[in-house]
Amino acid sequence: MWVKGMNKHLFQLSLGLLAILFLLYSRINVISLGFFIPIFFMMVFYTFREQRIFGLVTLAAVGSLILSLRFKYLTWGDSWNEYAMILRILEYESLAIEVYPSQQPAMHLIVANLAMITQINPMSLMKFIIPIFSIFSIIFLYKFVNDFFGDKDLGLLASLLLLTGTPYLHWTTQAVRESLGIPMFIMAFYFAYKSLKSPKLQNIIVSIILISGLILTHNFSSAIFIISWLSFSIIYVYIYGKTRNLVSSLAILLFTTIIAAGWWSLTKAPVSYIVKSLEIILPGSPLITFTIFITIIYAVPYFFPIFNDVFKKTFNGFFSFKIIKVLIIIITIGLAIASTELVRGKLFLILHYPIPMLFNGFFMIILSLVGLYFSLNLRGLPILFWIVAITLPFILSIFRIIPFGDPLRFMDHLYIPLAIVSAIGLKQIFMNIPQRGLQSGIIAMFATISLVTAFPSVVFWGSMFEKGNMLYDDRGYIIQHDTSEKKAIDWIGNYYVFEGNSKPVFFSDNYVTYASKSINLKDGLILDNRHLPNPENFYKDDHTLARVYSNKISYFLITERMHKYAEFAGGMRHERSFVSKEIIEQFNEHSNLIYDDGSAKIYYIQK
Amino acid sequence: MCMIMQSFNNKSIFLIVSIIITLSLIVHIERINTDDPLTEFYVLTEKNQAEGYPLTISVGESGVVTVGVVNHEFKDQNYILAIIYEDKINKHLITLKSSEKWEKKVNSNFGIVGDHKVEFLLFKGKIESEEPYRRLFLMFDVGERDE
Repeated sequence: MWVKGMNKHLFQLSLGLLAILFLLYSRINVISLGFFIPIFFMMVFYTFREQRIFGLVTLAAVGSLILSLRFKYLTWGDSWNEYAMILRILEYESLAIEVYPSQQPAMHLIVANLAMITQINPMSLMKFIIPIFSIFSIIFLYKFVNDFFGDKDLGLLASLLLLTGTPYLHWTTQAVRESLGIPMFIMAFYFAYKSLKSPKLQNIIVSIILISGLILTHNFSSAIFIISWLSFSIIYVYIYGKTRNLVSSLAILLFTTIIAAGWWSLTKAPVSYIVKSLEIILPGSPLITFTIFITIIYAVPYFFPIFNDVFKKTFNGFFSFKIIKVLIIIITIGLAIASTELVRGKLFLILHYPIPMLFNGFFMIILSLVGLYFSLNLRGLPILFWIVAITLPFILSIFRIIPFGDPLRFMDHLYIPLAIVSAIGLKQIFMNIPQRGLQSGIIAMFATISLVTAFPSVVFWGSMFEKGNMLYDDRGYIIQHDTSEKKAIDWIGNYYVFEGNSKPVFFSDNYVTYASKSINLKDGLILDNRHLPNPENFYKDDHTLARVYSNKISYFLITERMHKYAEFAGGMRHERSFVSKEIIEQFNEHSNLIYDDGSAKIYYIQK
Repeated sequence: MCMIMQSFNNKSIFLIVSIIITLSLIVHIERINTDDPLTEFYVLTEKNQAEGYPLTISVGESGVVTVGVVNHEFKDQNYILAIIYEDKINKHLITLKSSEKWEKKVNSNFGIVGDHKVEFLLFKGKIESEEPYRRLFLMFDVGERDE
């Protein structure tokens, strides 16, 4: 039996290693991607059919390393920002805000210390070490669902749905703070739940350590943890209320809130506006008022001993009306349409995701609606309130009622409870399909298509499709940074000179600018990605940017990719654009071309 | 029990060897260059800096810059460098090994007042093709000689 167990582990490990090798070899020959996809299918199939937790580990490892194995350099934009922060720690050996503006040091310190100890290039360490942490997300989500619902299959389904969810894959694969923040969030949530269920000192200590780690890793994840835990634990206490539940859940909430608020204020974090809002709502001593207020809310069942029974009876009665369930589902459909409109670029943000990329989101909505119907009961209520706690600020930020730059950032955390409810929906569907093999085939097919469609076609097809093709996705231009761009950036880093107050200005688009942060550790350059100025009469015409344009030296890095796709300006102001032939002609007439490596060119103007 | 242990040991060895092979391949492919071959072509000042080019000079005055070529084509490569200004062409034949760098200080002086474009053309191989492989230029503003 034991040997058989070992064989199964070895089989899964072999599949995982093969998948890794095919992904890696795809850098040399993209045909190998054709072998990776059926292997991934087999991994999911086998994991679900045999209920193998070890299969989840191998799947989580392979899924998280997709971009690190496929591409030589870091991908997208945010990971370059993290890389620059790691280099700054190595350069200055300090976490002072003047040299280390991020002030979310857990991930940066892990990589910087490893780089110092091993003398391995920090970029490679970051690419491979940070995404691997997502194994913990998947394992602890499985454990949470298994503990909460007492259902192994449900745990497996929720973990599989999460690990192939598009927003989850987007953040875990790119070695950013979220890649570490999401596993920390799920682990902290799991141990907080354990201390709520059985308030042993060791559970509380572990959850406090993990929450402290989460606060030091990612501000946004810790803010989401507070609202998620608040809503989940209050409902849990109202349903299952005992004094020991109250003490542990309240202790965890107050600890997280006070430490996080202190840390955000100390580090002047962008989310510290939450603390400021709290000060406006609760003038005087907001944290003391908040503590008293929250304690009263948690303690309601203890002031009124019949509260639990009344609460349970009310909700049971409420959910016994089918019309109520239907109404809740209709409201949910409305909110889902609003979110989809956002993703389709029809609300505020200029996003145009291709239809295939919406495959996972569409089916997750369907599954979660089915799951919602079967979760509208006392057992499912804490999970539903967890979803509501994240959905509320998400929807409010979509409609700009609360200020938040990119509402889609809520999706990566929302997908965690959504995966649980979707798993409940899928489990209900599977109850009508008794064959385990067929169930495994369905989940393997869903997971594989979700994985392949989560990324632009360059990842799994190896190339971009033409405009007009259903698979055309202009994010394919910006997911990877090529050697030519990197060499041009490094060249500027090696040869620019900053000796006075007038810093040279480096103009390029958002994605080149992200990558250029790694050469600007001493802030000797002004990185300007607002737009690419016309070089004709460069110092004379444009008065709107006089401070920048009056600088003596200006560099303009233009890559081949920017002739087809470029993005300028950050956040909600970002614009999709391209560098026209006319602009290039202007540069050819009114500037100097000082660097050319084929794809990347650096133009230069000096006053 | 003995058989189980033996079986476990064989599998453990298989496991360790597989992981070592995979890790070695990851390290190897991370270190080797799997990207398209390219050549870097650039121009710096006389002091090898990318600022303060002598773009404003007088008639007869020398504008000295450094021209550089770095071969990342993963093979030995011949280049022809042509420097063109005021209808003059200076040519240099360059042979570089893989990853080798070549730099040379070049001198431009102009006999006529006005705007002058100096072009640096790099051709791949030993024969000039119609289109240069890489191209750079500097715009010189040439004024009267100060007496």
